Amino acid sequence: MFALLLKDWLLLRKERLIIAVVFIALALGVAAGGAGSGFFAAGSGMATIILLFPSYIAVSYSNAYDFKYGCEPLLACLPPGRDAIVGSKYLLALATNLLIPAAAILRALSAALGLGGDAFPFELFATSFSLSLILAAVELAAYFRFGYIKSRWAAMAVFACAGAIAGIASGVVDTGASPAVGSAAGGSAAFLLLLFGAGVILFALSWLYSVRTYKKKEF
Amino acid sequence: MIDRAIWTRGMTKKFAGFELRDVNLSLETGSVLGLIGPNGAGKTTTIKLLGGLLKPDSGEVEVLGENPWGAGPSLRRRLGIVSDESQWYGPLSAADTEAWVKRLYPRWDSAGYTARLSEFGIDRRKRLSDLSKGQKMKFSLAVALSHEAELIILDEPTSGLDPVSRSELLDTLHSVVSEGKASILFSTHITSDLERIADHIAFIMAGKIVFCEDIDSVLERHAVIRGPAALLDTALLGYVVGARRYDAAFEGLTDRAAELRDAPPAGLIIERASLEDIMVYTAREDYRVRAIA
Repeated sequence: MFALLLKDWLLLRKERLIIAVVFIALALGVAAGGAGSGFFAAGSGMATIILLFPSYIAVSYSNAYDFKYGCEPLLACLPPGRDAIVGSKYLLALATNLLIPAAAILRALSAALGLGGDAFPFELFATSFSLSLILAAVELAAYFRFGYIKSRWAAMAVFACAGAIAGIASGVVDTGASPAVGSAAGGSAAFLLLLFGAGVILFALSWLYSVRTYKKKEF
Repeated sequence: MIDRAIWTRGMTKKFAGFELRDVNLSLETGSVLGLIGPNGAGKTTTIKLLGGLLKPDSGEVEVLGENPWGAGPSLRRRLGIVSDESQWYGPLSAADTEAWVKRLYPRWDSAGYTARLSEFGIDRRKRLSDLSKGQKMKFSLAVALSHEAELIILDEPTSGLDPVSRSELLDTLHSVVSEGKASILFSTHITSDLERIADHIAFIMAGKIVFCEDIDSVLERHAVIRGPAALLDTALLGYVVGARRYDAAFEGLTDRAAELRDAPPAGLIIERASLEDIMVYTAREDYRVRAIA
């Protein structure tokens, strides 16, 4: 599986640059942002969506290269086996998702050093992390079941939903209230926990489903 | 030691509008089996079944002693597939490709890989998408040879290549066979390629194997026959696989050459048949006996 991840690392040369630029832009946003007002302020829907990009770009482009060069049959003939092919895509999604906690750590350091405000927007990073898991879960399940083209449509649909969820999360976090969940402070925590749980469960189920589907796939 | 690199019995696969039926193939270890047949005959489907890319509907399939469908790394490490449909990643160079592929094969030979690339005139730093079609095929072959594949399956490797590239690729295959390094299954519709390197020939047509036997027996059994068209109205017709009539003459193919050579009818000319003659006269509907009778 490591060989397949290395393959993606080598293939995603240009995309790594794009991801780095996005990450640097976010880092600059961290440095400039203040609590409740900056780009990284708690409840910023736009920042939530932008944080999804590293994982989204890595997974989508990895799939795109397989599709463009017709490499799926080749991979299926190589030693790692189909469960490893599936596993490598999910690990790629997880690995690039780790940039979100990395951004969170950067934000915390910034706050500790007094550079970027005094609040740590845990909600923002938690929402992004969970949404990114959901995005990868849907896109990869669609990719292994229906192929690249349909997985693009699925990803776009999830992106649209992610925007809506980020908006809802923003409202919940800003006001601390949720129509579905009772008390103000409890509302925010319950929403994030629910979202995170949904992300983890969906990601795990998607992985299992993809392995099952892909093992039966004929080329 | 496995005696047969490939063995199938009754291998069947159905699609909408096409069926591969009861395919029986056998490839002895260390030899070359040529799979010939017209376009759409089932060559690529056969190769996909052998490569584990398709699951047979029925029948038995063994590749290096294992069922290829769902096979684990132990089989795949011993198998090399060179095909138009199994391309390597274009944006990566040969050096990049080695960096990740060598981790898949415990027996990877880096020095041999470099030497083969050099022999094939492939720049290690050049993107694979910038290689010519012939070089791409040679690159795939270099990978297969560098992990010491015991069985190399080539799907139409010479199709679309210019005569020089074809000749070079065939020379490489010939040297692989001479050194006894691997068993080879070679599918093509360019039959002259096989006459250079194949030990056995399997002829597939409309999803069915017409014959699978030693190339010398195939060439000995068949012959091109020529003579006055009136001969086709005699008992000779029973010896003919396919033929075409001219004004007052005919040319055809027989699969009972020995019998005709023993007692040739007056006016009949018997000549050695090439694999192309065999394929053309067997495959063309308008050359069939019922069409010319």
